[in-house]
Amino acid sequence: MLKYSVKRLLFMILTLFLTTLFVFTLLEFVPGDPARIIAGEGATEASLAAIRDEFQLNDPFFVRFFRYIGNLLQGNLGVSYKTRQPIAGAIGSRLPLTMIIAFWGVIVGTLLGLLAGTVSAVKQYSLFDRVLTFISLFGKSAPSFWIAMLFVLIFSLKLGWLPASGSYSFKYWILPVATIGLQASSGITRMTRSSVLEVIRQDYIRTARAKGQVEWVVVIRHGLRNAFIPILTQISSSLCEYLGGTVLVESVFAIPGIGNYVLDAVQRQDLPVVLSGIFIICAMCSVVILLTDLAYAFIDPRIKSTYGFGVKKKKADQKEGGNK
Amino acid sequence: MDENTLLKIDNLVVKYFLRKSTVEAVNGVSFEIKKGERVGLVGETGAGKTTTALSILDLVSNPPGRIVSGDIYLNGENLRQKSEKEMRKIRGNDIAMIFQDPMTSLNPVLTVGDQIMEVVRLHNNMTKFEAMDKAKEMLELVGIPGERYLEYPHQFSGGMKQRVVIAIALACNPKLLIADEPTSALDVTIQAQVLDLINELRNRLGMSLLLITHDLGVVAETCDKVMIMYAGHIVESGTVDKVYRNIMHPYTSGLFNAIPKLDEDTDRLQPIKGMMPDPSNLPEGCAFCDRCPNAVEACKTRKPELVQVEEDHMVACFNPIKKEA
Repeated sequence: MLKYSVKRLLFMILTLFLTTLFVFTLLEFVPGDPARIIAGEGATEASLAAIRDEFQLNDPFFVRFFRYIGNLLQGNLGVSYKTRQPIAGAIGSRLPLTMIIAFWGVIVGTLLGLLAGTVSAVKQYSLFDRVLTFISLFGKSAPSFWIAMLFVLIFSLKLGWLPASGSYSFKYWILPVATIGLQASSGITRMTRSSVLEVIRQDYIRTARAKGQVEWVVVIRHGLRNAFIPILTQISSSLCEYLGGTVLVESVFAIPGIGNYVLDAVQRQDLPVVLSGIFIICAMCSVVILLTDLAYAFIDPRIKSTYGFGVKKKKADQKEGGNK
Repeated sequence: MDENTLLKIDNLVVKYFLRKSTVEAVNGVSFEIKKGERVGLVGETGAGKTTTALSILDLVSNPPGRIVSGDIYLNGENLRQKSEKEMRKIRGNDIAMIFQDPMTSLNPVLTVGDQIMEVVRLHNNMTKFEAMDKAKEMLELVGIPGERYLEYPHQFSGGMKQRVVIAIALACNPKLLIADEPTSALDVTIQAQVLDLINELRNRLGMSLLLITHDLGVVAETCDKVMIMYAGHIVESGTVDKVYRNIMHPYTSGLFNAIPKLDEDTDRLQPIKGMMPDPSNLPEGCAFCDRCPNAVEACKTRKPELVQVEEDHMVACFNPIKKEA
């Protein structure tokens, strides 16, 4: 297991390196002179030259790339072209908000999805199942900003229960979390339903019933756990998606999250911010995927033993009842 | 009812209601199992053996299956009138079942110990540690070292898995053990081991056994009574001794003829010609009529009833095979 974890960690570092290289190269091709972007319209040649010197823009591509990597390794995310402020500070103040909303959204979505998916699998083709299928298709296909606006309309404007925008306390997070939760839940519901449906026809489910086990324990203990690997994959990919910032949801609720930050930077051609923002998002996703892969081993002992973790496989002697 | 009767099935009818058709899986099956008796239920695939067994536990998957009519008595109590909660107390405790494929009948993500413990704790008021001891004891009983308690099913071979399944089934000392083709998924040497184990444990624990199989040899070795099932009907039943010595139903005879004989040099086995009728479209008369060498006019229009032909021997046939004098 240790070997596996180390291997995965090395892969993760490689992924991050390649992503950074890719994004860095792409940004090279963005039209426009960075010095002019920094200086603004109507800057003189002399001031442009000064800026090129200050930001070391005249160095060759690879020198600048490895300088960036070197800075990253020291925890330095660079300086914004526009504000001339360190990017780390800006991301540091925005990241927690994005994380809170993404995590809670996905937790809400997971709970809803597991419950709804399991029930509709157990009661396949029932009215509940059909209504749920409709709702989750709707949740998947309705644009998130529309759901967000609908929530604002109902809960802020009509009922006046919750604030419509901003981000100051728990109360402000409820609507964004609900929006993301609803969206995440539809994918998780679909995955749970199909996965549980497949598992629930297995022989060991019948064995559990033949033991006299209560039906819901059969479904949860024997069914859901066996069905969980594809569901976990779905959960983790939703989490990655929302950790990358949900620009639309953040825009509707005016949340200063990382999605908005990167989008702004793209519009203003603030290249270091785009680069570092994408790097941070990519790093978070890599961690989520790594944890997911490790979690598989704890859900399914067969995966665990493939990676040589835990009990070693040993055969009993024939006299102890083993087979040759 | 006779005090010695453990299980009595009376005119059981089970159907699977599919969208376009209705599969008549079990059509009026009646039989009795006495305390400590070993009964073999023989028939080809699709004859309704497993459905009959699942009906006893009320585990026929619903939908699409449903017990349409008939009564099932355990110790004189009608199981069909029991609530789901009462049935749960019977499953695994009074009646236990061993399933066909040990590869798939154990939960891959739980340790074998946990899976044995589950049934122990469901039916006994035991602490976790007592149940754990009991689980280890059961493993030892089926010939697996108790310390393998913490291992997962994928760490066992097929035969060992079937032993674990047997340990689960016997953990609560059931009065009736239903073994649904317990050896068909295993290779021949392991088959013998598992059958010996079932037999030995049955003798030691004294429960009744309903052995579902398509192997007439296994029945001869293991059972006191045999029932031959065809297309949801029992066509011949009786003590193994009587039935095997005096085969009367043409289907039973066909089954026996299909077994290769050690003392004859056979190149080809003798199959029963034709196919089993589609269970969603059973003929009006005897279901075996089209394949039967002895068929007479009556077979086409009327269903034969099981009638007693000699002591402990019943046959459902209008024109049974007469023993050569």
